[in-house]
Amino acid sequence: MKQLFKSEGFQYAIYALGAVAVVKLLWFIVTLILLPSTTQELESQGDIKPLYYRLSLAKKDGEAIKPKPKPVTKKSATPISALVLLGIYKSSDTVVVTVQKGSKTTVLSKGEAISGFTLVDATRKEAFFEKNGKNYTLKFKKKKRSAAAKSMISTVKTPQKEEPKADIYEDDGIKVVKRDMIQDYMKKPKDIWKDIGISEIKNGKDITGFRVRFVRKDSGFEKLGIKRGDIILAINGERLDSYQDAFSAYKNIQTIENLTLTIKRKNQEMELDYEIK
Amino acid sequence: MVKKILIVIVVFFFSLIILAPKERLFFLAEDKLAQNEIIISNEVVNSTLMGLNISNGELTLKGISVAKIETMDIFSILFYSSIDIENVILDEASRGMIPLSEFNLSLSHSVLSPKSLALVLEHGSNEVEAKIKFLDEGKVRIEVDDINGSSWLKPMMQKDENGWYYETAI
Repeated sequence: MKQLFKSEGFQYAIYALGAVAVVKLLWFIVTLILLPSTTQELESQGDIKPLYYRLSLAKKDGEAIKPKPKPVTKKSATPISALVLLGIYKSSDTVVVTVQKGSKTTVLSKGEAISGFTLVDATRKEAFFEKNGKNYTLKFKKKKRSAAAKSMISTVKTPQKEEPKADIYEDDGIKVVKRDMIQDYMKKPKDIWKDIGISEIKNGKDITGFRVRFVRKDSGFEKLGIKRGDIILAINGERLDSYQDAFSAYKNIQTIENLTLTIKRKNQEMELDYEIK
Repeated sequence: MVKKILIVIVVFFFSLIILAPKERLFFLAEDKLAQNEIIISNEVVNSTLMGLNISNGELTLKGISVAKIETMDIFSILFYSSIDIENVILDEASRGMIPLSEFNLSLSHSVLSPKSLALVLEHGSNEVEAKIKFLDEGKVRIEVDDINGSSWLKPMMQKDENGWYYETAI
């Protein structure tokens, strides 16, 4: 009888197949016991809040929108003393007065009313109103000028302020940071790490803030009022609980107009506010 | 008998490479990288005969986007392995540290020098060849052969009689 396969060649094939089967089995066991079945993905950034807000008017996701009950307000009679006369314009056929009630300013022509007081007539110094058959006179307040009027005068008289040369200066009690300084740092990020050293503070695996290890003398960061040992907790209300948060603050800093740093200094939480111009 | 053993060894060796669950091994490598907060996201992973092809990955370090990788080819025959990364596009913010917008990177490892990696960085018309050496006590030393075409590297590196190097502990 003729042999179809050489027995030796067949044996080699069997050994080879055996080796393949052993390897396959090995990998199967390793895969089953040791190897993960899913890839690593960056966590969704869907819960990221806008960089800066003080008032959030938007409803949070999932929060049911309940119709707000309309507040019931009792209409109280407004006395004439609640009105402040700001200006009078009078010609032969026209009478126009400007009055202020609370923070609201209203311009009235003859016959128009505010809080039930109807403008009847006016002289150069006073305006006459009528309400429920009674006559009322509203005069200019002699001593107290309105803030608006004051500011108008001061705006006219005050010469234009020169642009301060310092990177950070105070304007009406507000610390103003020049945008140029920030842009310089953005252009040369290495300078940031020459001027300030920070390290994360962890509570277990979670980052709770960033500790300032050093601040270089006369650097922008020292001028901002940041001191060694401070713990930066939040930027513009956003808690810094990851490097991602810190980096997105860094990326957005060129576009913001206000900067609030929430820091912890000597166990006291405080806010450093700046305006960026 | 010797011939049989030889056949078994050769078949076993090649089976080990070809039948390896490469995608799963890549996921394991990703797991290890993730422990150091290095994550490759959105990538498409395809197995090849001797390795893996990964495309369109986004590299993030501690949650910060660092670079986008167009293609990454991983090849291994156990005693020689290489990783070729093409068209690495650095994130704009990272360019402040490394002033390269786009580059190619090649890493290779051979059993002949088990404690070192060869690195080639191509950017524009320049090429930087370097050796990454894993020293004792967890130190890593990167030695650059010729730095002249890439002077941006100089501020990060130190110089001794053997040339430019960067040393750090891991």
